[in-house]
Formats: sequence, structure tokens, C-alpha cells
Amino acid sequence: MSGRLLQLIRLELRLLQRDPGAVLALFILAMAVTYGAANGTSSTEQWSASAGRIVSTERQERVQRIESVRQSTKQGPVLASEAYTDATSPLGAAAKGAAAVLHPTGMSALAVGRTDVRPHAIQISIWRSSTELNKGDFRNPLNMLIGRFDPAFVVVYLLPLFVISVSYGIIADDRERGIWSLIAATGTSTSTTLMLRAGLRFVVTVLVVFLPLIIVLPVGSDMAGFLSAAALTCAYTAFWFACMSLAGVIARSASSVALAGLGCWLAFVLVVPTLLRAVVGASYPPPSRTEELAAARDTSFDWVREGKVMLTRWYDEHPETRPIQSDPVYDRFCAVLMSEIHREPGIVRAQRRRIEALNAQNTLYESLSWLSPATIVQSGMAEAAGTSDRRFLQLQQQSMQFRKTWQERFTTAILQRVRLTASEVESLPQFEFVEDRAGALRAHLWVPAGLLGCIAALLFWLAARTARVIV
Amino acid sequence: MSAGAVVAGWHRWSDVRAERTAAEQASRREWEGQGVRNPHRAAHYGLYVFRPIEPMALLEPGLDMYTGQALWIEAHYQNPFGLRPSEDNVSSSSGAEWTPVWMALVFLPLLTIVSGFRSIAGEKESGTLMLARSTGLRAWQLLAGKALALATILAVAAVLPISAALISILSIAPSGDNIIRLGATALALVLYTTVWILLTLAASSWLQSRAALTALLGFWLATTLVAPRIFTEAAARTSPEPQPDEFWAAVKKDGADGHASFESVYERMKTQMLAKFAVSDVKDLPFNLNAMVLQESEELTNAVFDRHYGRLWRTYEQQEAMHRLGSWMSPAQAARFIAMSAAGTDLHAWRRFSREAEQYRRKLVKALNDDMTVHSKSGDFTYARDTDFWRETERFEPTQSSAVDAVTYPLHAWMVLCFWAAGAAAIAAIAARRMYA
Repeated sequence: MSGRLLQLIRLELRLLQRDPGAVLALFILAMAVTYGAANGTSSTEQWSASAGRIVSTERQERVQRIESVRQSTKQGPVLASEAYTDATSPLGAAAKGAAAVLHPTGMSALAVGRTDVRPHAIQISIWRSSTELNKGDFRNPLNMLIGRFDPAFVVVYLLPLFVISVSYGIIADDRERGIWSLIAATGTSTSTTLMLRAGLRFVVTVLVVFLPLIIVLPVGSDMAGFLSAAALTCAYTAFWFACMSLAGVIARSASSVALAGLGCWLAFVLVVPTLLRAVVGASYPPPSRTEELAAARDTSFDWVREGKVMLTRWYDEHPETRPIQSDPVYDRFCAVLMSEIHREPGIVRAQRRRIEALNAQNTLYESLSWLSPATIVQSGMAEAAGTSDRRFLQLQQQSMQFRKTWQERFTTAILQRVRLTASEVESLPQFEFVEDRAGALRAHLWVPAGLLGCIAALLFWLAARTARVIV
Repeated sequence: MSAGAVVAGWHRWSDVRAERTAAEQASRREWEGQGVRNPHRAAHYGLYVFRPIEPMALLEPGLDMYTGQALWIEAHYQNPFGLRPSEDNVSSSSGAEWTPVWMALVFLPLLTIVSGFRSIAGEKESGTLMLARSTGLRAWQLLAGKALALATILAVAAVLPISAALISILSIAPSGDNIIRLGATALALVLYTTVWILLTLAASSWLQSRAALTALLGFWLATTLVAPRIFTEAAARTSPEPQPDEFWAAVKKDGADGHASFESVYERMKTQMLAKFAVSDVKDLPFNLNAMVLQESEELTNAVFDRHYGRLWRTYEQQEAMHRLGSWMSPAQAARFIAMSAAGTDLHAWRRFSREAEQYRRKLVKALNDDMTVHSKSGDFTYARDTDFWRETERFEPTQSSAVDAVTYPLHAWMVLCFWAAGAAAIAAIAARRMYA
């Protein structure tokens, strides 16, 4: 039996090799994957370079500040004139801030994901308005509108079409020529023939997708990410082969099979994901931006006057922090700081509501994504690449927490007008992004890959059963 | 689905317009209600301006999802746009939007292909083509008849969305301007569909039905989904945009860093003014030197921003040129350029708004600095203005390009569509000549 099977495999491979359409399709697929991987790599390099620059600039500035503080001989409370310029001034250090940076993963080249929409670095400062980095970015909206040609695009959008093009005739061709019943008469069951043909094409397609990826991407640097993405891609490919096998045994002509495949592609890849996004957006609309802006500006609050009242109250409640000498200009800075602290909860509430709405959107999207395997794979590829919406929202949430830490670290020192020591500058908080990558890969790639694989197996089983009874 | 997209577009448009109008009014209210304040502090406080949304944007939101709606107007800084609607969605892949124009560009060709790939090939395969020939029917007549039939099918499919679009647009703003814009979009889509009808019939005439289907679908995929993205990558590689950290570092390096240049400018101007007015103390000058220096610093930073934003816009233009080049390989892209331009949601409209907003920022900041210069003395930081003054400050009123400008601006896209229509007609004519061979 195994000898017969090998013979059949060789025969099918020869047939595939002699099909110029299939060979051309697979060649184009390999080129598309290579091109997508190169584009993804280029995009990741830009991200990595930017993140590296931000971190290294911050490190250099901190080293310089430590050195300046060591060399400083200044004594006594910080003066207003040096509040922003002197290295020992806590106000200057607090205003300069620190960056919350999200670095790419080893597999970020797999999917551009949300890197073109969400920032990978958020500047944390005691003043919200003094952070240019947060003022927006400069990506061309035209490029964002059209979309990128990355490996995720190739896998999600193009791969199913290549599967359709190499598999729509696996049974229909023989049926149209009237030789399907002859094959059945050779002693090999029709279901075996179907499985063999689909299985061979599946293996070849998977190889064509992964060989370029292994060559172009730094697979070794994030093996877990790559393997997760590979498992999900295999399951997705298997799903499409299973669909085509089922269509192949149901429809009579090759054109009908191709049309059925195209219909599935349209539904699963274009229509359902597009409608899903619209439904999810409408179900959990984020709060109005106006609300956030209003919270940040709060015109009902007189910054300086109210800030001065709050400052006086602070000094009354914390007499140990009252500076020895009074300085009206410096007090004004402190009053504005107090007003900034007063506005903070409102801003944080508005930001939290936004993030919660977006997280709710993501949860609903993930639940409904089972309506379309393309959606599952799109999300999974972004997760494997570390470019998912969830990861960028985590950055925002963690940066909000870090901002709180940053503000708390400096508030008392600023109000006391005490000078920073070198060891204090050295021990200033630094942002570190915390994530559970293994958990994310498990939840968003391995589990969907397993379930999608099961669906594919079920479809194959149905196709095989049906193949036995067709002529 | 297209009709649904129009309805969804109308809802989105209404929401966006309501939110922007409310935000614009709130921002102005905050500005006018900021109380007694020093004009330069008010310039730091600033205000937000919002990009107005045109009625046609309900059919083609174009770049609106990605450009950001608001711009913060403040002293010393020319800020980039913020609050992009795309940040409010979980959309993990761009390029697929449930909008009427996108639906038409993607689905009309598919409908054409599916309805037409067998129209002549099927007749050949079943032998009825020869029967038609024997009746004296000429090839071009047959082709024209088939084309008309396909066009009728598409027209029937399009009746509902077109009616919905017409009703929506005209109920929002029944102006001649909008009718011209709508007409241009419709014309672009008609040309685009004509290309597909002719190519489908030519392929059906030339090839067997299965080969025609494969070729047409491959062509659709290449021109509609793949080519635009290839040119996006080419644009991003040949003219990369700066990262925010790079951009701001370069801006700072050139001296546009808030009050950083104040000291040096102050010393220079102090010497000049003391000599000019023959006084020894700045307090004896008949104006506020500090405010004058603030304005002078502003002019210096404006020059820096002109340089850097100028470079940025040149990058965008180079990228857009790449996309224009790409549209020769993608009639869908060309048609979308026309629709975006007509809707006022293209790069050109965005730049226009950006330029006007920056002019407004400079004018407003200058007015505030000038007021302080004239009405207060050097070193007087207590000088303040109240609500009446803020109310008198100029309002931002962005202009919209005329319908004729909007329709003729994407000239290249019209040329591309005409080229494709002419090419498709030529191919169909050749196919007709060989049909009975």
C-alpha cells in the first residue's frame, strides 16, 4: 500500500509540475511572500531605529544630568531662574520626562498591523503640553489608506486565491474529461485521491510560503512567534484547501468550483471583516474626543489662582515640604503644577474610557472573528508580529501608570525646591513595557490555529465522504 | 450592500459633523471664556481648529480616517494633525473600508466578470455563436449588445445605491456644487465600469470561459488590490517620512524650541531699540520689548517650521507622485483619486486646510503679541486682556475648493481612466474582429 501511495504521490507531483498555471501561481506566491517580507523588514527597521534613538537619547541625557549634578556645587533651594535649566532642579528633570517605548519583536516584519496608526513611543512629562513626541506623527495618510504589502497581506488576502488557483481543478478537471470514474476503477479510492491531491498541494503551498520567510526574516530571534504564525498560517491554508476540496466534490465544472471559491474568498476575506469592523465600531464607540480635550483644558478652572489656593493648602497640610525661602515666580510654577495635578484625574478618566471602549471593541471583534478565518489570521499575524492593537493599547495603559509614578516621584521635591542628588537622578523611574507574550501567542495564535485546523479537518472529512459517492 | 454602505456613510458623516461642530464651538467657547489673561499666555493656551467635513465625504471618506480631525493652534509650535478617527477603530488592516465608492470599485468589476465571462465564450463553447452569425449579426453588433446587457445588469444593481447617494447628498446640501461633485464621481465610476465591461467581453471573446474567468480575476486582483499596495511600498521606500523623534529633534536643532531663542533675540533687539529710541532702560521704550521679542522669535521659528514642514510636504508630494504613477496600472486607484478629490478628502484638500490653519495660527499669535507690544511696557508681565478681547479675535474659517477645481485637480486620474477606456475599447474592437474567425 505504501509503495502504491508513493507511486501516486510521484504521479501527482509530476502532474502538478506539468501544470504551467499552478507552477506560475506558486512562483508568484513565492515572489509575493519574499517581497512582503522585505517590506515588513524595512518597516520594522525604521521602527527599531526610532525606538533605539529615543532610548539612547534619553540615556545620554540622563548620564549628562548625573554628571552635571555631580559637578554642581549649588546649595540651597532651587531658584526660579534655574528651575528648567539647572541639572539639579527637580522641575527641569520632571519636565524633561522619560519615554515609554514599545520595541518591535523579532517577528514584527510579519505584519505592519497597527504600527501605522498608533505611536510606539509616548513621552512622559510632568507637563502634558510639553511633549512634542505625543503631538502626532507624520505618516502619509494616503499610504495608510491604501494599506501595506506585508506578509500578513499576502497570507490573508492572496494566499487563499493561490490555493483556489491550484486546487479548483483537482477533481472537476477529471470529471469534465470524464476520467474521474476511471480513476475510481483503478482500485484507489476517490477519497484517497482527493486527499492526496489536496494534501500534496497543501504541502507545496506551505513550503512556498515559508521558505522565503525563513530566508528573509530573523526567525531565530523570535522562534516562538514564528512557529505560532506558521501554525496559524498552516491551519488557514488547510482551511482553504478543505473548502476547495468540498467545492470540488459538490460542483460539477471547474468554473463553478472556481466561482464558489471566489465567493468564499469574497465573503471571508473582504465582506465579513469589513462589516465586522463596522459593527464592532458601532457597538462600542469610543467617547467623544471633545470630552478628552475639555478635560485637558478645563476652562472652569483658573490655573494660577486656584493653583495658588491648592498650593497654600498643600503647604498647610504638609508643612515639612514648605521651602525656607519664598520665591513668587517659582511659586507660580508650583501653582500651575498643582492645577495640572488637579486636572489629571479628569484626563485619566477620559483616556481610560477611550481605552476601555477600544478594548471592548477588540474583545467583541475577537469573539466575532470566528465568522471569518481571515479575521482570525489577520489578528493572529499582528499578535505574532507584536503589532496588534492590544499591544499598543497596553503601551498606552502602562504609560498612564508610569506618568502617575513620574508625577508622584517629583511633586514633593518640586514643591520643596530641594535639589536632586546624583544618586536620585540615577534611581529615577524608567519605563519598561510589561507583556505576557507567551500567553498572547497561546490565546491568539495556538488556540485559533487548533480550532481552525479542526474546522479544516471536518471539511476535509466531509469532502472525502462526498467524494466516495460522486462520479 | 452598496445601499447599506451609503446609509452607513450618511450616519458616519452625521456623527462626525456633529462632533466636529460641537468640538469647534467648545474650543471657541473655551478660548473666549478663558478669563483675564496675559495675551502671550493665551497664545500658549491656544485653541483647537477642526477640519470641516464635506457632504460628499459620506460617499468617499478618503483620507479623513487617517489625517486627524483637529489641529492645536498655539504659540511657538506648528503642530501636526491629531485625533485620527482610525485610532478609534480596531481595524487591523487598512485598504478595505465599507464605503460606497470602495464597494463600487471592488465589487462592480467582480459583478461584471461573473456576469460576463461566459457571455461570448459560452456561446462559442455551446456552438450558438455560429447560429448568431448565420442570422447576419455582425461581430461588433453582438459585442455591443452584450455590453449593453452587462451595463443594464450593473445599472439595475446600482439603482438603489445611486438613489440612496443622491437623496443623502441632496438632503444635506442641495447645491449645484455638490451635484457637480457627485456627477464627477459617477462619471469616473461609469468610465471605470466601462473598462471592465469591455475587457470582460474581449477576454470572453478571445479565450475559453475558464481561461477568461481566470485571466479576468487575476487582472482584477492585480489592478485593484495588489498594484496600489506595491506603489505604497515604493513610495514609502523612495521617499520615507521622518519619524516624530527625528522631525522634532531636527526642528529643535534649528532653533524652534519654545522660548529657547528668546534670550539671544532679546539681547540683539535690546541693543537696537535702545539705540533707536535713544534711551538707556528698556522700561523707557514706548512699547513692550519683551512682547516684540516674542514676535521676532515667532518669526524665526516660523521660518524653521516652513523649512521642515515644507520638506515633509515635498515628501508627501513625491509619494503622491508615485501613487499617480501607480494609478496607470490601477484604474480603481485613478477612480478613487477622482472620488476623493470630489469629496474634498484627498491630500490636496488636507494640505489646503493645513496651510490655512497655519496662516491663521501665525496671524492670531502675531495679533496677541502685537497687542502686548503696543499696550504694555517692557517687563510688565501683569498686562492682561479679558473676554471682550478674546471675542474680538479672528475666527478660523477654512475655505473649500470650488467644485470645478475639485473635479479638475486629479487631471492625471481622468487621463488614466480615459486611457484605460480607450485601450479596453481597442482591445474589444480587435476581439470583435476576430470573434467569428
